[in-house]
Amino acid sequence: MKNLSLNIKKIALSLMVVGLVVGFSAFTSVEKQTKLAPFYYGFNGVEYQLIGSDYDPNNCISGTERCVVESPDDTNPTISVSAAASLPSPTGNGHNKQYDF
Amino acid sequence: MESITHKQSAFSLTDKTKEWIVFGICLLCLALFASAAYQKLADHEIFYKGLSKVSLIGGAAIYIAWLVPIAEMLICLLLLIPTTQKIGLYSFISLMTIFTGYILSMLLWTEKLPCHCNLIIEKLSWAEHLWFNAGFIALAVFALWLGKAKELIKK
Repeated sequence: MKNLSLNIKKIALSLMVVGLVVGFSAFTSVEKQTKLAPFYYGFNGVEYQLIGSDYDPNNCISGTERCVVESPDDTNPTISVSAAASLPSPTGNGHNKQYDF
Repeated sequence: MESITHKQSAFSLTDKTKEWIVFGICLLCLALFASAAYQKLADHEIFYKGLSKVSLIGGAAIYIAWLVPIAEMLICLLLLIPTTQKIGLYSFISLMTIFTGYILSMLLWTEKLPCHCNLIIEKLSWAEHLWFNAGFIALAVFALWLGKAKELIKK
């Protein structure tokens, strides 16, 4: 009887921990979604180099005027709303959309 | 007549204390897998896309993306029920060893490392993640050892 009572207490405590953890995860995942944004790469004539997560057309190498955006999902850089709104339409689809400026 | 005395060390723990330490470790493992499983299901598409980018397992990503959170939830269930905690700890160690092997292979052979981690873990680098996993494996092994000595964990 004593063992049964102890087991019930342990299960209740475990369930409470699961509830807390899942609740905390749910809270942080909402924050996370707002942070998702792409990485930008500029072409320097030889290779694509990481520009950063803040879009700025001046960072794209002039001459070739080509930037690549690599979409995201697995990292959390940020981009401002105004910068995102000024992005032109990309060529290509999916994860490796390409922007020509 | 010779008498035998048992000298108890200052650091020796009572069975009750050991039982609660084992239970505490089970709770930690449970919390880790519960949050991981939740995150993988809540952001399932992100998790799937991350896996599909990994050359070694990309082909089976769709199956692995479901298999991993389901396995984590099953292990949570085993850790939650006191009578199945022992098999839960063994399963936890097995899955964590697979995860650690995956991280190690990524560190050795992959240039670009995706991250589908959660909570505090997303702040860790892959190398730190490796130590984090090793720490949890060590904790689970310690719990099994501690519980085995006095059969505190049910078979």
